[in-house]
Amino acid sequence: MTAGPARAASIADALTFIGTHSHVYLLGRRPDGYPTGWAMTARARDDAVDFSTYRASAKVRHLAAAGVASVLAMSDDRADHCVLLAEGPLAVLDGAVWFDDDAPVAARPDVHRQVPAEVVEKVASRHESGKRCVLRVTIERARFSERLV
Amino acid sequence: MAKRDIRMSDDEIARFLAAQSTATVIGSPPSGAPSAAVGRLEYDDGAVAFSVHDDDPVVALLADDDRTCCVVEQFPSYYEIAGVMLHGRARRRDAAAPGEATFDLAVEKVVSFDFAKLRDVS
Repeated sequence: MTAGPARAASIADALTFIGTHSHVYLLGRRPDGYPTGWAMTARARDDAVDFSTYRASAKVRHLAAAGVASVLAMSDDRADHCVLLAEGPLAVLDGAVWFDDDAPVAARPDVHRQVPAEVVEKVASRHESGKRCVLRVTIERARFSERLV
Repeated sequence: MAKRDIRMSDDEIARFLAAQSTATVIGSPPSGAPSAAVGRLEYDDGAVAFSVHDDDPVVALLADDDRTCCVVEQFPSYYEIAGVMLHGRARRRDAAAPGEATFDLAVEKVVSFDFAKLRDVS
């Protein structure tokens, strides 16, 4: 029943996994030192993972100050026990980056198909206006493990 | 426009946690990026516990620093997205199933969200 030693993952394998699995979390630390995590919409890119959020949110301030974050991805299929954990430096980018053409893979595809059109339009508008920004984690290390069921 | 309040009530949080069985458990080193494991959630009348593989790196992190965040979430559809984040301190039980590490969580802060409340006010 043990997980066995964690398996190192290549950056390419990590990004493919993140882009094709529905649960993606951004992990960081609060100012008081407590770890924390947010389930978020993400896009996997060549060597990084982008997250969309409001520029004025507390998480942006906290993560920007830390300069590093982790990404956890797993399947919503309970028969798929594989979990990916990746980490690297974090940067806060302009919201327009969200629409760059080189980001073909969107995580949480099942949910994306159900997002109401007005929500999609609102998010796009907030990116264009600068109210939303992109948190980019450039993946430097990654490993696979197994979830305990 | 005022931000919509999509937090769950205490009763809603209790019902949500009682219906869930999976938790993402996060630990943090003194510096650098956090680590996390996905394990089994136990919830019984306000008492929260979780189990993870005993050889997962997050177990050693929690031994060094018991501050943790336990994230419980569901998203069968957009308006069914809901989740609870439990911040607190983890205390490892002496006894656990073979290959597992089980922790009781002394909850200090709870954050919740329920996207169904977005539809309710639309």
